[in-house]
Amino acid sequence: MEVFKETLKKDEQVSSKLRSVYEQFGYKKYKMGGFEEYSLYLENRDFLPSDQIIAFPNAQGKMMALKPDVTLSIIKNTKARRGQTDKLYYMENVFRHSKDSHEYQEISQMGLELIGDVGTYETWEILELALESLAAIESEFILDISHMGFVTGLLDNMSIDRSVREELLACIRSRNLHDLRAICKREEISRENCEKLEAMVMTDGDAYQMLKKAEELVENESMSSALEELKKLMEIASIHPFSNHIHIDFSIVNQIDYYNGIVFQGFTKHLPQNVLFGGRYDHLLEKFEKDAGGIGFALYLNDLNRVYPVKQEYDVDILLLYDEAADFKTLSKTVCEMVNAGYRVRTERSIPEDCRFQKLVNYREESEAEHA
Amino acid sequence: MLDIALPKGRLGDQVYELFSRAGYDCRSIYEDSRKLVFQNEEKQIRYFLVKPSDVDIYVEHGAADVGVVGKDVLLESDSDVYELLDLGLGRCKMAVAARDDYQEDRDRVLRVATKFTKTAKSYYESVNREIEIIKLHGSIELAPLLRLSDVIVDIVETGRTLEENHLKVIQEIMPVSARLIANKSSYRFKHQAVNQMQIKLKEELDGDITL
Repeated sequence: MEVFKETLKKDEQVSSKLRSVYEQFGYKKYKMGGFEEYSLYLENRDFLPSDQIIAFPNAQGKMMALKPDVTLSIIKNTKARRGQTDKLYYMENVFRHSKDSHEYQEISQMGLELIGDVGTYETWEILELALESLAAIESEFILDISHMGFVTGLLDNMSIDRSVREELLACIRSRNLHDLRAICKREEISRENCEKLEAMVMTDGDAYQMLKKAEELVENESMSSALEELKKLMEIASIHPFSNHIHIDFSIVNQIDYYNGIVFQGFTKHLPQNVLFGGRYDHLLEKFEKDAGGIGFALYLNDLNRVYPVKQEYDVDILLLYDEAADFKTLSKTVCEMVNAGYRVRTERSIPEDCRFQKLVNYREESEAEHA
Repeated sequence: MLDIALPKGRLGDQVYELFSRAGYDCRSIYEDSRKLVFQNEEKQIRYFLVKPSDVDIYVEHGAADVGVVGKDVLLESDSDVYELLDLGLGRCKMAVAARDDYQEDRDRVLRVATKFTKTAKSYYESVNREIEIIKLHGSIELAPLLRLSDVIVDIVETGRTLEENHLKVIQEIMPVSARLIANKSSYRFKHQAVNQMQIKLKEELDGDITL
């Protein structure tokens, strides 16, 4: 069935466009049930943005949850391993706790996962699809990429315990240099290391320029191989029309226990927060004892309709009025002809209050009265 | 156009003075005390005056590009924003206070009255002390006097209010001051304007120190 593109809301436009993009790249749709065992989320609590989950016992008394996430279910169920890659995409509603309303919120999410062999080309494919996904929303967008190995590599160079590391990471994520300096002073981290941390946070902007700047920060093997990987990716990106939309930003750091390698976030000009979030999560697969690499991203579609309202002048093209005296055979035939000609037609006995129409066709006196 | 959310009140006045010295003045701000929005076309800036504890909400949701908010508010709200600069204004400390004659009984759960429930919880978690929180919205100093709580966790500026109520600081938790925050999307798409503001404010602050 042909759908009128102009009647689609922004989130519907984006998801229908992206469905075809993802399928053209050979990704298969993954459909998930509404509920998942609660223990799955309990065991991987830190992977989720909030640990508040809607849980309830099912008919057998087993604790179930309304899904707060799709990635964990895909990883649990995938048969992918090294040598056999799974490429999946999904469109699902997830339930998460909102800190603003203190209530649960239904969030419409779209995303894709590549699990199995993850090398440079596979990583690029995911970045390419992330770029396409952002472009489907708005022409002004930025994909910020970072590398976990680069950030943690610099922290590994300092002998600090886990709690200090977390404090420093929080400062890095919020670009908070003043508190970062205070922590370095308190923990007696050398001035040189502190300055490197500051310089790393300040490394954000055009990818090719930042790659050069990042070279001066390299301290060890972990950082140099991370930088090598970024360079290889930007080398492939150089022939892509969206390559100037890619920025490097080392303030982007995902959960250390789950993510390794490339991590990224996508922003569009009119959405106040990142609309796309993703990265390489081999550590998560290790927790599920799967011998595979994994990378993917999620898009949050909830705010799209508020930020990009689709203005519609008319609800239907033709409003067709009839009464009992009308010849129903001719009426039915006329409606079919109009529909086949591509018009949106609504038949009514009288003009409805809430209907905006472009043209009025009156069948009540078997005569056509047209309004412009 | 850069939208700036400022906290209403005394801190807001100090912050505006600083912004004005750094080249972000807006004359109309003195004209009408009931107005909430002030604009300077030439400088391409617009100020909003909002409740201090709402500043980060405006910025997080992108209604304002940047804002100035106390660290105490940021710690409570956990907003997803960038914290770009410590403006050093409104300096005070988050502290635990109790009656002058208070002696802690480590054998039972501590009752803590506060407006800053999150800060209090994370502080006592860090020292491994079990507590019971009583959330209050104002006149926190009354709680220990009326034996509603053992201690309070609150902002202490000069300590005079505590003194007058026969209370004393028993533990300092952290220093607090006003911070320049930015929306994550504005930081990217209005990068030059935000960055310029950060640099100018920093220069103005560094100048203050050398004087």
